[in-house]
Amino acid sequence: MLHMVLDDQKLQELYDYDKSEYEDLYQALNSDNVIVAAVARIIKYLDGSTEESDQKKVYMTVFNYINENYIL
Amino acid sequence: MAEILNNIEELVGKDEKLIDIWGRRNPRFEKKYEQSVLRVISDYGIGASENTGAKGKVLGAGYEPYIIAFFIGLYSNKKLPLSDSSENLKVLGQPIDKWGNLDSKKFRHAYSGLRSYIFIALVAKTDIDWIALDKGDIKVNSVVTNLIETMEEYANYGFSILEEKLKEDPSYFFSHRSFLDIFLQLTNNKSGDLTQDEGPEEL
Amino acid sequence: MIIQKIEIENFRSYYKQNSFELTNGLNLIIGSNGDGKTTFYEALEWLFRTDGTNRMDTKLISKKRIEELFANESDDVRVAMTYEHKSKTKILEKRFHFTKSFDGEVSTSNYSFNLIENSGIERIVKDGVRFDFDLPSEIRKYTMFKGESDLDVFQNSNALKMLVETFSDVKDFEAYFAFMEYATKKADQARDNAQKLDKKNTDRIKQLNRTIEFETGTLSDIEREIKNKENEAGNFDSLLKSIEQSKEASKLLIAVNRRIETLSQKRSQVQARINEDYTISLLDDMWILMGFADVAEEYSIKVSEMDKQRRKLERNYLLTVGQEKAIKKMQTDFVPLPVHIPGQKVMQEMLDEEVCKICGRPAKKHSEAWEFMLHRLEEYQESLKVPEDEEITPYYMNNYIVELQKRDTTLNDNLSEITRLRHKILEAIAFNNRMHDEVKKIDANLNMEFEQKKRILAQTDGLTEEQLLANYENISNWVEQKSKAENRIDILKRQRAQHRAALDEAQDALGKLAEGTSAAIFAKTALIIRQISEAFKSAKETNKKRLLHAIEDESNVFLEKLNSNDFKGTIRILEKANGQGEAVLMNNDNTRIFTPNTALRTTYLMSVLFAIGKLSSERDKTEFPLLFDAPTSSFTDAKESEFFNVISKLKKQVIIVTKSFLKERNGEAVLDQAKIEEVKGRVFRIEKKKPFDDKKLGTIQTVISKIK
Repeated sequence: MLHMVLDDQKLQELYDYDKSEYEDLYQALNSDNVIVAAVARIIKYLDGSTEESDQKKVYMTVFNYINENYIL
Repeated sequence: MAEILNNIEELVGKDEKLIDIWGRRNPRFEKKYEQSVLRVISDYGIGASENTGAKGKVLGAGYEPYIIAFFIGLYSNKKLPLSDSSENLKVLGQPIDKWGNLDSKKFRHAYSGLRSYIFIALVAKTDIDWIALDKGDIKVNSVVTNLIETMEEYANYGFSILEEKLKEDPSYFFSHRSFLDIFLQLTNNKSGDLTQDEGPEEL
Repeated sequence: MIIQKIEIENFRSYYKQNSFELTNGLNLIIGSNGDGKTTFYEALEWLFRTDGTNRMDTKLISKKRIEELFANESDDVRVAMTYEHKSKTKILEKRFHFTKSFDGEVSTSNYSFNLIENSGIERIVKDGVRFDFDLPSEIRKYTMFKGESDLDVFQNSNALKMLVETFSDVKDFEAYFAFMEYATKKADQARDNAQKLDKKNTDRIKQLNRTIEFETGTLSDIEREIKNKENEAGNFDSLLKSIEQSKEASKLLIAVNRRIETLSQKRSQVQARINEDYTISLLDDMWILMGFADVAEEYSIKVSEMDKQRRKLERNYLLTVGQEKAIKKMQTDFVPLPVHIPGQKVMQEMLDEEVCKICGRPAKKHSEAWEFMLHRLEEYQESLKVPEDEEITPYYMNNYIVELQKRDTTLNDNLSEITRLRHKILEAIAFNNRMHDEVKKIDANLNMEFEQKKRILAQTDGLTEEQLLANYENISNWVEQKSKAENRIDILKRQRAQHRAALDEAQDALGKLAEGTSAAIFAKTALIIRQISEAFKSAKETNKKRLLHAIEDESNVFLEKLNSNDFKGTIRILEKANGQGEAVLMNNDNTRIFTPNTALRTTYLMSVLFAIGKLSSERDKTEFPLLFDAPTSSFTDAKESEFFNVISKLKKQVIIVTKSFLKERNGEAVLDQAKIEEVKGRVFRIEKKKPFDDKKLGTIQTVISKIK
């Protein structure tokens, strides 16, 4: 999933990352690139859950993460 | 003051007075004094001007030096007879009754009364049989002539003094004190000695 | 997963126990229609159902067996599959008990669905639903096909979706989708809320920005003015310093000038009082009469004498004539009062004042003296009247003496004036001299002042008087200006501090607001989430496409194999607008073959199936058996053989239930041994045990015989 999402041309263009740098989720989680790390977080923390409570949690985490780390 | 002194004819009636007859006369003076004195100290001969000093002279009309000369003689009590030859004589431009009739100008004003004082002096100093005159024994004109003669002789003396002074010092009468001092001296102790220095001299 | 054995017991036409022992390769189960091919399928379908439906159904029970049963006798319906999966051998078994009642009714019971694992000695029994772990239902779909009509996988509108879901590398796309949708919505909400809040702040921010702009501008202006004023103050300061030295001199100079002015004025005044036109005064003011007193005396005496004489003579005359009238006349003549009798005016005065001014004695009214005076005055006044006619010849023709007399009276009146003249003159002279002295004194003072001025100017370094005075003027002016400038600077500095504070305050506030301005950040975050969401979507698409391509590619490989000598074309898996998938065949020129012949259709659809099967294996890292009804009815024999051969080479366990290889002989279907020989795999024959009656289900029994 990570690769598939990171594969997206548009995302790569917009946020300027090299998808080949991220072989696994761990690398992506620790990426300097906020978007990459955000995607990794979404994938990892949600873990395929469809529970609303999980969605909420993951959303808050990811939202705050992006907020705090993304420099406009 | 002058107003007071000018009232001298106040009481005298309006009839033809002796003074009027005298006033119509014009005394004579020796021609030589014209240049040496009259023209020097007055505007005489230059033109009818009663503006004393307008042409730089101390006195205006020619009768003014005449008056001065007369009083010099009077106070000195010295007379000098006129020259016998009428060629040497001249009359002033104006009869006596015009003397002192100045229009009031900036520096001058009329002193018509002074004539009367001259007349008084003449009467005082001339021997005349007044009774005879009033009786009509002698003509008034001859009396007047006598009076005039006195006048002329006093003036003549005065002129000679003036001439002398001018000879000594041509600028003698430029001083404003010159004439005054003459009279102050003359009238000081009534000795009539002009050589006495009297009165404060100007600096 | 490899199916080792399939046991079907009492399931429909499978009377009592029947089993197929399958090989890991091609397994053919040959039977004609009605022989039990379909039932085989259905048995497996029933076995694999893990959703709890269709558990027990009497319809499933073998009719024959039911008929056999006595009352109260029971038996089981059982379908079991022994398989090996990931190195484990398991048995999936579904069974239920059925009992025939006395009245012939069959009841079912004891349903059980178990997955039995033999682990060493242990026999682990788990719920049969756990079979899903081994063969997930989504895979199952693509492993079992019942009939040709089933071949088109994509007929099911959800097939594509499920394919993607099943076979993409990515699990749980939907979950992430759902999450991304949720996240996007929430993020947008957060952004909108922030923007709403921001709007509240916008005005404040605008205002603060205006304030900042204003304050900045004002500060700039103030700074500029401060600089100007400091320059000004500095300039005045230098100017003042430069004229500091001359300040004293200026003051002195001004004082001196003032004194000079005063003195000059005084001098003028004094000078103006001097009147030394003495010569003129001699005449105009009659100063020339200063010595006239004596002359006046002489005149008076003379006139008095002649007057006396005149009277005397006249009286004598009149006496001689002896006329009283004449005397009277005489008395009425204008006879002046004798000398030394005062004039009319004085007389009147004496009367009024009641004093004799001659002797100095008082003369009270109506006293004798007073009456005497009055009488004299009246006489006198009488004498002024016009005289009557007279007969007597006057003694005198003229009255000149009278004139003289009259003059004398006035002269006497004026005498005091005359005598005072000299004194007056001397006083005037003295006065003028005093004035001269005064002027001299003033001049002396003036000179001192001028000297002083010279000294002052000499010590002022070449400054002219004008400059000194101007400087002095300027000093106070410059001091004032400097002071003004300094005051202004103070004010400005205070203002500057105020404005700085205001600016800082505004900037702080703005910073705080900006800090709190989440809208921008939230907007970006929302955008990022949206973009990630898009990325997920596109990933899904990509994934799907990749999958479809993979399937396509694989399908085409299979197609190549299956149709090696025949027309091929290219298989394409398309996604229709409604999301439904479609496997289509394309010509080499990319035109679609809409109605391929049946064989071709079968082939390409099977290729797709095989491809999907391969994907399944790849995904789960394990092979799955493929089980279907051979759709080879449309194949030629040759093709058929080829078909099966290809399949046998697939290295896959394939179980094909087929009508193939049956020849019609004498109204019976017999195996075509030759063909069967060619087949590399296991072959089973299923047929209805004879005799049977189609109408009687109880006679139907499928018999399995292993051929090969």
